[in-house]
Amino acid sequence: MMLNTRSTVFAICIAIASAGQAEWSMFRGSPARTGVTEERLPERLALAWVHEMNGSVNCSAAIVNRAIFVGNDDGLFVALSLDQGKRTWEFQAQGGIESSPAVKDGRIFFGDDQGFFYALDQRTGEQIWRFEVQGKIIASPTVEDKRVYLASYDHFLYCLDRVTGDLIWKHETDAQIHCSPCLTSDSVLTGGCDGFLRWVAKKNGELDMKVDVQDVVAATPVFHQGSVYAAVLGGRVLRVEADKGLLIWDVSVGKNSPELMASPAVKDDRIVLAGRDRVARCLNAKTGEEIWAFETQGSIDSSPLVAGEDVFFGSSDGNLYRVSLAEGKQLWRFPTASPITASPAVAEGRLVVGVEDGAVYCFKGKD
Amino acid sequence: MRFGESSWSRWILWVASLSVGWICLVLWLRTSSPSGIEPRIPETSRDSKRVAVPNGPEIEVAGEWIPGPGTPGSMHGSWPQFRGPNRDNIAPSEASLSRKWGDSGLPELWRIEVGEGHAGPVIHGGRLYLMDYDREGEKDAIRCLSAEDGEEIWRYAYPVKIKRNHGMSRTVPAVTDEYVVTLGPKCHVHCLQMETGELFWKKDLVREHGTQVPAWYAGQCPLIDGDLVVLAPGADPLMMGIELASGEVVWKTPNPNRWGMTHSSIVVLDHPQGRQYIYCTTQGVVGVSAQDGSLLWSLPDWKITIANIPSPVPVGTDRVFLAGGYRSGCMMVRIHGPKSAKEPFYPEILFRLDHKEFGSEQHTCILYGDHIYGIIPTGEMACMSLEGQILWRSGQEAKFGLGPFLAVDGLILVLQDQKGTLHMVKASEETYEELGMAQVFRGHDAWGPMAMVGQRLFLRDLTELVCLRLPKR
Repeated sequence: MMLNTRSTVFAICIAIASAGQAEWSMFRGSPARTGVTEERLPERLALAWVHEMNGSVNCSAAIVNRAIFVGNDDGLFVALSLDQGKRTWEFQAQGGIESSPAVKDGRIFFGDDQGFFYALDQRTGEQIWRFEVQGKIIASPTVEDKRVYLASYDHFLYCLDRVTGDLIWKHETDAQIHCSPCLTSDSVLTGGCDGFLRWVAKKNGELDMKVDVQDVVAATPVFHQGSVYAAVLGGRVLRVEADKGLLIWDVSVGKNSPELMASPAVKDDRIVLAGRDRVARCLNAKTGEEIWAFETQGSIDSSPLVAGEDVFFGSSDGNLYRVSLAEGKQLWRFPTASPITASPAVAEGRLVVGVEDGAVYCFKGKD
Repeated sequence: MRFGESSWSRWILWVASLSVGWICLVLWLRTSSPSGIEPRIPETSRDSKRVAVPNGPEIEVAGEWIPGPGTPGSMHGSWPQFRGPNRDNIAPSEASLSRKWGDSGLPELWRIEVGEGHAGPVIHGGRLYLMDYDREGEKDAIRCLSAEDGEEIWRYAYPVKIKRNHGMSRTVPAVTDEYVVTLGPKCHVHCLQMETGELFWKKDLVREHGTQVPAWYAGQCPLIDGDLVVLAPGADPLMMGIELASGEVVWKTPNPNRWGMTHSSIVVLDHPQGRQYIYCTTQGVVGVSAQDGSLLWSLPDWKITIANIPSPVPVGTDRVFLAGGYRSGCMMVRIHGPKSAKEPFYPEILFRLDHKEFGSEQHTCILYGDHIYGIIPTGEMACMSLEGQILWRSGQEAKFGLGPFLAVDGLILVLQDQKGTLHMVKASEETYEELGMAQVFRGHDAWGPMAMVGQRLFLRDLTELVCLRLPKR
């Protein structure tokens, strides 16, 4: 009997683990911005639907409760049904939307390029509150407990009350912030055009620590197993000890210092990153050594996503790629004929990505 | 062998064969039991109807309505008939399309197998309609699919035996908010409710009007004009207007000289002196009054032996451009209106070009801007002025066979019929300029007309129907 109970519990645990991440609620999938989901997509993928949004879709979609939330550069933000891609509601923002939404407890958070930050009702799309900053918001917010964190080109990192939209604190940096805030255990990690990685205390917005990386940090840093991984614009990747800020390694990738706008994904001992030199790469997280490189026909701003053992990303060559995490071997490719800068999202058995000509593509397992 | 001996031998052989045949027939009739032979009665389903045909006998072919799992798509826009909303093969451009496709191909939204043929689709209300042929079931199949994913919503099928002959289906339905009208390969006309597939009425042009089915089966695509379906049985009558709602024939065009049905389709010319229906018959081209169906003019000079396939192209309000295959070339005709009530309309040939200069074997040319684009008999694309001056030909390296083409947003999209490649050509009178190419089919004989709604392009080869999405700029 005991054995049966244990077996059942074990089976449930396995089932939960296999089901993986039931949702993709924010940019890079989690506050730590790892860009990883344990969900494995079927080997054979087929197009489920295409939704036309007209304006460029450059932000990554959120997938929660069989709905998809995504915005475009015309400021149109929509909710789509996961199954059929039908629009359930839409919201018109003041400016273009590159900031990927974060969804938490029935609310959706994102910013626009006119400096407005929104909280919408997940069910209806109605605005609950709006917060205005002094610069455009490209960074994607993250949510934890009762707080939402955002960053802006006005140099500030903000912490708001997620229920009321009231400002809890703000922290000034020396330059525009393009990358999205990443949460470690006690800090909000951010980088910007001032060449620093900053650890800002969650509790009060005070600077805990900063590390001079001597280059612009446009890609969102990753917090993973006690380390911070950051790709900087000039083609370098760094691993920094998260508690003390000590540099573990600092490597240059590619031949000509490729611009790294895409945010890396980190799974176990592998980092996957992509650059404007058209190449997606996998590095050894322990040493920074390159394991494989996969070349596309266009520059890559689309941040790679690791789902199970596969890596998904788009390219400005118009293709959505699936390559193996182990070897960097191409497993699948879908031509959209339009540049892809948005990062894919994976949840609930679907792969969703928007493209520059305004379409949102959704894929599922082939019957 | 001398001539006389040969003639006698043939005569004896002929008489002997006839005698043996006659004896066999008598023996068969005496030994077989006629009562054992049962007439073939088509299966009737719960949804089939026998419809009393106005002015004719009851049709024996019974249809069967079969539901499918599909649901209508949410896409807006319409390609409701042969050659699109304005029957000019120009797709309304809702977005500026990309002039660059890249090397990776175009996004394929769905692909399905269809019956062997060249029938093009129409799209309306998120639904796609196809006049298909079910070879296994030996049935014409009017199929309603989701334009979103190609899943079948319903089909209405009726028994018709057709032999393979360069494809089996080749007509394009016409659809409105209420009706879908089809003409099958053997000239069966059906009018169904466009959402539910319920049968409103049907006609058999062969039985009721004496139509002779053209070689390779019917190619005429029904024209819906207001409340009427306009069809050319090319028999008794030559042309007729049928009330969509009832199936009643409201006017007929007399046809004393039995000008027959071709693969061409009727087009509308909004002439200053009255709307006309223009149709290429087997014996010439005619203009018919849209008011009462009376024959206004005819031009026997436009007669094509073997097959007249392309449709006339209205140019402005009083000209018609005609192009054909089988060495017919092309001609531009001006339709002069009568100066008094007693005078007839008369067609004046403005120019005629030899087939070596310009012509079109299968597809109807496109009037785009002030120029005519077509695939000439060499397989090249060519551009011509309205005065008959050839402005360019695509050359030996750019031949498209009998592939279809349409115009959209300053582009001509053309399908190479044997290689299955889709080509994006700049619609310009200055020169032939190909902007992009994508592989679409591996099969062959991609002859069916294309359709386009928004950024979605629907195209087919002999056995597959594909929906592509063209990227925006």
